[in-house]
Amino acid sequence: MHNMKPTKNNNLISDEQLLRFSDAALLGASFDKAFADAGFFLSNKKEYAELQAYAALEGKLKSMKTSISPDAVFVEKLLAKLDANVVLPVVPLTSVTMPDQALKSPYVGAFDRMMQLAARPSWKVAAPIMVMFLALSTILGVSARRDSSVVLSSEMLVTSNNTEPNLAMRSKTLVTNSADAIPSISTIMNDATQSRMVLTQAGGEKANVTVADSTPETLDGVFALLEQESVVDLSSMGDTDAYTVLDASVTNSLTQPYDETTI
Amino acid sequence: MDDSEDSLNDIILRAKSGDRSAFDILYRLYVTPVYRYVWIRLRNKEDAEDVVADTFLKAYQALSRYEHEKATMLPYLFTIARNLLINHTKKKRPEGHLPEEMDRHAASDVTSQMATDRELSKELKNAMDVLTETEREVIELRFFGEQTYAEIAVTLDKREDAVRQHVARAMKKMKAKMEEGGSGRTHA
Repeated sequence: MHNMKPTKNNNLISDEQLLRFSDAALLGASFDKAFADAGFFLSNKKEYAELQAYAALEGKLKSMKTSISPDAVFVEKLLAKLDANVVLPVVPLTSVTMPDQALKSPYVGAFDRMMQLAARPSWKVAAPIMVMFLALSTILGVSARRDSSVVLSSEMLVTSNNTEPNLAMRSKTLVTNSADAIPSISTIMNDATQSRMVLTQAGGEKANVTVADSTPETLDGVFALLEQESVVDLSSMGDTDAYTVLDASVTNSLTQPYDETTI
Repeated sequence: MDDSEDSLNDIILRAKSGDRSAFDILYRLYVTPVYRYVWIRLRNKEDAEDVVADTFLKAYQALSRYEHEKATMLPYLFTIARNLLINHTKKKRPEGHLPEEMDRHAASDVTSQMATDRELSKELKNAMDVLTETEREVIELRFFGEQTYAEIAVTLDKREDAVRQHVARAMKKMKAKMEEGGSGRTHA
């Protein structure tokens, strides 16, 4: 049973009763049946009248819903477009983690290109290159090591359709009330933007949030959403236009499409 | 799991393995609820068609990686559509707040799809104006997207209990607003 409380404004109908009534009505039950499903008897005259008003509301919502339908020509044209769409083969790979330092490294672009090669069916060709790269990067001190702050999924690289290679990466420092809020920020930001979002230097009471996107509005929008969800207090933030544009060579690795499969 | 769920599950699995006829079946099954949800948020036919097209294209491209738990793809599609809607609205009017943005659309185009019931549309729009963004979204997903509470919870990444509370509160607010406007008459 769901843990629902009656509303505070002395309504006759509790939330749970209203939802039971609404659910039954949506499934096509008659008013009297839905009324009974909500837990009422015919002697409950005030509740009967109250639920009639809700029935009217549901009836109007239903009428409006049925009046909205996609154009038949549009439906067929889109289907034809989908059928013509070529789907790239997906080669499952394990996730790759990269350190903050690597994000700022000029070797990151090379690492990404190597991963893309490795993800293709011609991996036999790419494998020796990968070995050489790892050996070289170890020598140069930029080897990929585990770091929970930045995670790049190689599956995203496989299906990358990035057509804007010059996107800039922007960052902003968020002041949070508690470091405990940082996972929530990360979740909300991932949900809110199709851009690849990373959260770096998450520690103490500050989090350096970095978003890769073509427009500063994305970052503003994400911050607005964070504020709306009451996760962080943004009143202490400075000018939201004060973005830091980082090394452009880094951005290609962070502009992969949002991974919808994470739902 | 009943036969229809088994069947739908099978169709989803076939679509994931690259069977285009299976995807076509899913497309025809879901295009209308997705369109209704997108349209009610944008109130504009052309914009809605663009977003719906992008939704299915993205869904199609990422389908092999989609891990479905239940015999439905609606939460998957609505999550994609919702993300596209956020971006679409920001691109249209970067400085606009989402509800105001929708209001502006509504004022200019609200009746293009519902010429037969202009008054009904206006009445519901006024009633929905009193809702918070979350309340509005759960009502749209519930009544226009035809999603269950559990599916809405997945789409919005909220607990099912919270979704149910939002729906109930939203309905109470809408009813109060409609009664306030003298439109709370009941259907026979």
